Amino acid sequence: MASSSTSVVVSNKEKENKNTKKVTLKSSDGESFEVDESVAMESQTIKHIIEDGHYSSLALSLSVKTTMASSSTSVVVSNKEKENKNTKKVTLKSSDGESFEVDESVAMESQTIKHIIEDGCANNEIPLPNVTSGILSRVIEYCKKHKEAAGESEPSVTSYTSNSTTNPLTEWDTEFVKVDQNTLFDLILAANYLDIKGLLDLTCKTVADMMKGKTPQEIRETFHIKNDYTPEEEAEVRKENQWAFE
Amino acid sequence: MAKHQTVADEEEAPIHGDVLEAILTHVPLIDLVPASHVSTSWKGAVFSSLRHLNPVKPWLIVHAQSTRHPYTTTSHAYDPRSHVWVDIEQPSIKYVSTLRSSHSNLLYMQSPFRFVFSSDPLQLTWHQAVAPLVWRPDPIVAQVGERVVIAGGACDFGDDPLAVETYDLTTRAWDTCDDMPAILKDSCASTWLSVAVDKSKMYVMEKCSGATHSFDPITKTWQGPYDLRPDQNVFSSIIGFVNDRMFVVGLVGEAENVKSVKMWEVKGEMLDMKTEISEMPKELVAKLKGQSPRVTSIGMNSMGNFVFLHNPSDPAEVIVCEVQNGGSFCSWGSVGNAAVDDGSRIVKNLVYTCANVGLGELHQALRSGDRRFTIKEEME
Repeated sequence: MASSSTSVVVSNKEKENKNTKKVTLKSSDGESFEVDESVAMESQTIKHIIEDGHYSSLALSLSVKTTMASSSTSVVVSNKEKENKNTKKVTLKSSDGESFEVDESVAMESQTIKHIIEDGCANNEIPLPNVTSGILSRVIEYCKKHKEAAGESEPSVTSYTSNSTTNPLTEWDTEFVKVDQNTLFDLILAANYLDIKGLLDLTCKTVADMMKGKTPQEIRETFHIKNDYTPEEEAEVRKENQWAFE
Repeated sequence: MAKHQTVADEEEAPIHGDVLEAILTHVPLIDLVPASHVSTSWKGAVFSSLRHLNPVKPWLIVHAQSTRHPYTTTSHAYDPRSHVWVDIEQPSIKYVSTLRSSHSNLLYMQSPFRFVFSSDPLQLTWHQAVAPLVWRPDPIVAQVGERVVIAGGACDFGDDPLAVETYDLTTRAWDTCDDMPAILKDSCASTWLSVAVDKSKMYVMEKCSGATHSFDPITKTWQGPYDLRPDQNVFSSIIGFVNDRMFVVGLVGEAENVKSVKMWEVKGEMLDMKTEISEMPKELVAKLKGQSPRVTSIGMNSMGNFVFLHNPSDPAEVIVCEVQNGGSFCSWGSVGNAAVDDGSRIVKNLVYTCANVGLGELHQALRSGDRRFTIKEEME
């Protein structure tokens, strides 16, 4: 680690377009790093220099090697970049205690979570006692995927065509719901609780497809529903619909 | 076969209540019939879902009658609630003559000896009547309340070309009325005239001119002509009712080059107030035109707040319009015509009706024992 005196030239450059003032930090071994002023001000030392207005012409000595400077700078840059992009994070906690950190914008695919955040009740960690970690991780996967795609797809025209060619994620969605029945039901309940329309529609439609072309008894067996019709009522129903259900 | 035993303390089925109702919105109507028989709570969920979440919507039924002996008919229904086509298996309609339809929900066939017709949603009952006095190859036919009206379209020799007869369903007897306006005399109804009915009257519009007459079968009087041509540039108009409101659909431009298709509402005692409601999007006009070089007129079926339009010269695509919020907003779409896509090379006579088909109608149809409904596999 070099401890010889170094010189850092901090210069102020204004970028007209983006309106972000830049400063240039020069390390001991001569490498220059141009960063946003706000980023550089993560360093209290540099902050004071800038605020004192001494930077325009003075060379500063900083005993900082290139790699260290660049790494700390890059860490600073990345954090600040994230803030500039407005990617706040929230933590969602499942019923079994696991925490998931996600971008706030992704979490807000859930209307329920959106309201919690907007009401200011978030405190950075949102407990979801109705959703297990296994389901929550899948839900988050869905939200991320759809959030990404949201920027690219056009709003679909109401189409009466049977094929839903307007949704670019159709294939991905189809794979997403290829799960066992219990998981599928849990996803529906989660989507309902979290109020995520797209996921609710997708999972409901998948379950609806499981009912097609089935007789009442077949539906009961698929979904484990108890038949609570009396034998007389049942006979009546069967008689009426004999043809359809044979 | 051992009955499936549920454990007494098994947890409540996860799918119930709101969630079940949401799922049921995605289940096509014909599958809601068995779903309603699963259990008493499922029955409640089915009815609630239909009432509040995704209500029943009118079906467009396309009847394809083969033009060769034994003239079998097949029926395909489009259900806009679930965006699916339903194949209806039913006993073939017994051939009397060429199947025809009028004003969206009447199907009929007539020969010199018989007149048979049906106007219930799924054609479960056919009314058999003797033929009217005057034989007409192509008359105006309409059912207004309990009466069927037959007018015009008679041969020129001998028989009264302006004869109008009404058939009373309750007495099963024909009656003759006032002659119809001479202007309608030479028109072959199915080609040149558009017919619509409301609760009390029949309306007959000449497609080219938009001139419309109304007929009241109780008072047996004609009124009109009313000029219902919506606009100078409309070369063909057809008339129909959307939610009991009179609508006129007009083709703008010319037969070889249809520029646009628009919908107007007609109001007023004298039917003189015309307001433009909506215009068909350009890409749908192109679908409507299809491969046909000329579009002289189009067919319209309407029920509730749905309008279905097709081009008889190329019926491959059916244009669907849902009129919402009392006409302030119309959503347009198109769907491939299942009756055209069935790949058979036999030339068919396609006839269109529109019907309010709900669970009750399906139950009734299934109870008759000779009908089966299956969802058509998705077409490419």
